[in-house]
Amino acid sequence: MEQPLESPTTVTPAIDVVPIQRTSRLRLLRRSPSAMIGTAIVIFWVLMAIIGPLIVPYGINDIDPGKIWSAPSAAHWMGTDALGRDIFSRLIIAARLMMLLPPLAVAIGVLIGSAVGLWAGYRGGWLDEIVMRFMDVMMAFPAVMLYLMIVVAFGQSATTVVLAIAIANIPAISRLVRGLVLDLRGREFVAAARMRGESTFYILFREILPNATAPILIDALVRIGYAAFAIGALGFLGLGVPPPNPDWGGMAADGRTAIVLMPTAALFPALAIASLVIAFNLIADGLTAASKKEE
Amino acid sequence: MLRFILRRLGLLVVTMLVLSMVIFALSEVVPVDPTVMILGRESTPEQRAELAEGMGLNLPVPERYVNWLTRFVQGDFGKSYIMDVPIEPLVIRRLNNSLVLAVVALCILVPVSLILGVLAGLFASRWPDKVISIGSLLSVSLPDFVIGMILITIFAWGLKWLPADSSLRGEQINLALQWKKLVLPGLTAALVLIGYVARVTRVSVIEVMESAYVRTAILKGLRYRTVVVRHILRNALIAPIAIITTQMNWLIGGLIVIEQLFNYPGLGSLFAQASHDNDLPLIEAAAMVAIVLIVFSQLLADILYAALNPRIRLN
Repeated sequence: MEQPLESPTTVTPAIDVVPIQRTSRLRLLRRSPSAMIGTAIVIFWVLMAIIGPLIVPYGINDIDPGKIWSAPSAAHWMGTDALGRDIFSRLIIAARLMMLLPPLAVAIGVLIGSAVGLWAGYRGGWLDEIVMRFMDVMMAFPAVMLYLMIVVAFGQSATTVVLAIAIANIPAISRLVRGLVLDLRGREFVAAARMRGESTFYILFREILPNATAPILIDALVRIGYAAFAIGALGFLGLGVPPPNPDWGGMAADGRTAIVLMPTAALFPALAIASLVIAFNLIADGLTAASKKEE
Repeated sequence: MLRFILRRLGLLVVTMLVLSMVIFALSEVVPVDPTVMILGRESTPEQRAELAEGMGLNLPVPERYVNWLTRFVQGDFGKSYIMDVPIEPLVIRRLNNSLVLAVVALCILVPVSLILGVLAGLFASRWPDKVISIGSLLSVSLPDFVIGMILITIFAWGLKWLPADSSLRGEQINLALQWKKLVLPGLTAALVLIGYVARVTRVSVIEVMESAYVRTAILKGLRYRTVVVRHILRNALIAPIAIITTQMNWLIGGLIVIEQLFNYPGLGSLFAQASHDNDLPLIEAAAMVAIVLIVFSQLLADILYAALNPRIRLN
């Protein structure tokens, strides 16, 4: 989730420190069938985000007043919504938002979370103790509640949504990175670098960080999936990316009002969100399994 | 054990203080003037200034935080800006509904996920394990409102067995009359966690089965059933129970989307509505109540865990 696993539930899968060689990462991806399926789904949505506007049969605001909540048909592949707009076209156009915002949010979260984790883990001592205690406390905050409070505090916009998801991800990421650093800082190559008289900055970014990238990346992949879900959830609650841009969560919320009439209107956008969460989970699962096999 | 509980209690107070500061800080930056929300846009600047003085809005921030926290601890949650009603009874009523829903979800979650996980673990890499693993992957990766919508489509639209709308007249849940309205939201919440808990249970069972004491038990000729019940289950269920307790914060404060999906009047949907209306006192009160509850359930969970696991208690 939070789910994390972040699942909705900020569920973070346990990840072992498994160093993957840079060159072999693509090969690993190719060897795992589940990672392949996940990648295919992501590539499909990336394609839709790029060429979507060229292939959709209707505009996002084209209204067909004669057809309200119509079932999927040859003219409207996924049916129409409350205003008679084509759900398929709106779904495809909204893909762009979902391909941009979740990776951005997670990238910000990883950047800040890693910096905090690196610093706290390497420095240790009472400051580390306090920072990590604070992160633990923040993890007790239900994720959706935190998203909503941040969106209310800073006003509803795409920027705030990205910010909210980034902030909510920082505690768990910094915990993960700190754990990795604690494990790595006792290794010989770090001791050797210290002996050579390298600066703390050099040791952190050239010795420790490169050896921690694999688990951080795998964790980030899962988080991108859940970030897509979080954006969907915020849209569903009416506090996501503001209109007029269609977004999957908002479309699902619209469809909810007529769900006993025509469930497809809510189901298709909901399944689109699910496809992203599943895709990123599959890639992360596949990479973890493949890199374990490599050992 | 007593020292353990006391230390946890101290930690709990600090946790609540920190979270209350976060909540207060977030509501400080909200770009909303409370006096305009209460008096309306037609009010004169003098009226607003007078109200601001009366509400203590002109005091310095730390002083306001202390005042706010004191009032909260005394049970005075203030009045809603929008609905113009005292917040406390509203929040308590909604909290009650949320707890009923959480209990329903737990009643489904605990037996189903543990049984599935144990089965998958005992039959590791044979067909029951494979079927359960695919199911749990789906449960882990489907967002809550997607699971809810699929359930609505099947049970409300297709089979017409259960209502898709869980709104309650009179706001208070009556279990005898309205149990049907709890089934779908409760099942949705349980399904979100079942996959995760079942996975943890499976791994835990496999680990215990490979341990020396289980091998000893088998080798000394105990019946398979005795080994499973007395040795495997006893040790393997500790981890999943701990995992379930860490999810209590989600079950209490995180069901916002599910409650909204089913129009269920719980604390979560109250919070969503308050966020939508920028109703600050209501947001603060709902968040604080949820957090107090979460922190206490975490304490209970820690004690339960320590009671189950002597290795922790004696450490």
